[in-house]
Amino acid sequence: MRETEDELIRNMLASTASVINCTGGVNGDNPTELSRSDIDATILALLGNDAIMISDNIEGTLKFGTAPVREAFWGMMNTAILDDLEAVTGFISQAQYPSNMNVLNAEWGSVSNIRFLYSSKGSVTPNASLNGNNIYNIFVTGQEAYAMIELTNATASFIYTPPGGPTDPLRRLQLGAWKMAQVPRILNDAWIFNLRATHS
Amino acid sequence: MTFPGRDMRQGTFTVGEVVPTTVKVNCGFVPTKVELINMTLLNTTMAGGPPVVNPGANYLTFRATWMEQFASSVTPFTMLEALSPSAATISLGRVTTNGISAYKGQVTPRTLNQNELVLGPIIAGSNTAIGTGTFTIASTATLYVGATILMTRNSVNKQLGGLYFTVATIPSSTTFTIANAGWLNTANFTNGAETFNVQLVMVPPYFYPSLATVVNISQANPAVVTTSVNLGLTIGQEVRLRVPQAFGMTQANNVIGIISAVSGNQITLGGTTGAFSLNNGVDSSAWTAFAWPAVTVPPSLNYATLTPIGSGPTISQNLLYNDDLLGDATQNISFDGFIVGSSVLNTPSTTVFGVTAGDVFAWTAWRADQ
Repeated sequence: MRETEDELIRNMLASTASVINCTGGVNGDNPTELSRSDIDATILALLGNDAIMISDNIEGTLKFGTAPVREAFWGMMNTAILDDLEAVTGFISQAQYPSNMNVLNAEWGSVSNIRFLYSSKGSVTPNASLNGNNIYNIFVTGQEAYAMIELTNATASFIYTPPGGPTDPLRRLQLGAWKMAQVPRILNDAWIFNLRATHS
Repeated sequence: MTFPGRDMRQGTFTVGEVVPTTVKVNCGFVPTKVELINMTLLNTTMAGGPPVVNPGANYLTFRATWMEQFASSVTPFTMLEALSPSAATISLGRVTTNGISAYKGQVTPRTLNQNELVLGPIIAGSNTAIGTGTFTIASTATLYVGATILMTRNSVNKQLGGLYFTVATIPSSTTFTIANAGWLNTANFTNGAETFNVQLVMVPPYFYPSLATVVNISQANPAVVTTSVNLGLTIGQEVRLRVPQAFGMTQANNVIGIISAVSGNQITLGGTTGAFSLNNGVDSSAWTAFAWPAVTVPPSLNYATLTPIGSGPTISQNLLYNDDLLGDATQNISFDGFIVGSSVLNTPSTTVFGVTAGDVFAWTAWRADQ
């Protein structure tokens, strides 16, 4: 149920968010794999549209092997291209953050002013690149860019009906189901971009 | 929303003005049996009473039946019954492609993991005629007018690789065209032989309206924007243009416009007045020309895009101001139901079962889970 809620928001973003193709990679496809110049271009586009970053910076500390993390937009991506993210110049793994107090479970790391979350359910558009490869949609968002509207009387609920209802004298039928009503919306398209990339 | 178990729904649909065509019917569940009755045909040919005589020279379909078991038979088929030409008899036939099929577009199939589009088999392409926007492929049997296709692996015109197009016409069994293709007839595209792939988009994005690639913007007042696919946008909707530097018309970047006219894959950004005179049309007559860049090495490229962002200004209930609503910006249009393909809603002839434009069909869909 909760997974479906997330999938619907993901699909809404994949359908309607403005796109930036990665062009700084070297794999010869269009879009290319993720690169630092593409991440910089996305950050500049969001800042140019007055988008506000979501997370505060994490100050540096005197811990060996750590590095300060800038205030950041959030990027949501598929696990299939995490290796490309790791190869981007300036990548900081979440294990290298000075403090893990504000690290999310699904966080892989950061580059410049974007912190990246991963999921195996991250958005993919099949076979849609120049060379017919899958395109991975990385949704980079600032504050208040999109929302999910919940209706008071239609929040997600699980339903169980035991056997033996009026139409089930033999007590054979039971029902397990869930229902919900949900409206995902992009509130300001200028504050979110779909950074599209292929795999290296 | 009906809980599928044992269910039946009924309704009607009208065949469009262009035949062959495809109709998608939302019945609220994935059916296991579908029956179509051509009411228009029966109403016209029954005028003389029984026996029903077909006065024409073509086979005219009066009933089409599909069952889940048909779809899983050795050769999947849809059963058709038609009035025989110039006779008081009926003929029985079947179609094995583009018949009736169940359609599940509601939630991403688990077997496809996170993919939100469902694509058909790859069809190899061999030629691009830039003068007419005509593409030559191995077979157009599975395409239909209005279908969305994905084009990839272009060997010469690499700018087109990865774009979605709406099929405008199908002149032959190996060619299809796209509408308003004048933008293709420019120096940075190459006419003639090239290899590429085409795939039919069988399940489109869940949400309407989707982002679209802009293929041309006129230098005019108001500006006319041509998109690669027919978006189904409507007058009054608000859209934002994004035009990368490589496409020349940089003045259009980040411009917001209100749609004043829609024609297929072209929209006019003439603005609308709402409650007041807003003077919000987009005048591109003095802007730099929109032009596709040449193929670069590597061929990576950011396209010009159009993003629907809202309903546009509409008069508030108290008539004092304009509301600028988010409605129309994103609507979930996915559904469960069935598709009536172009082999059922086909052009009739002395050898092909078909229908007439404007025919009204009554449909019944059943679901019978065990």
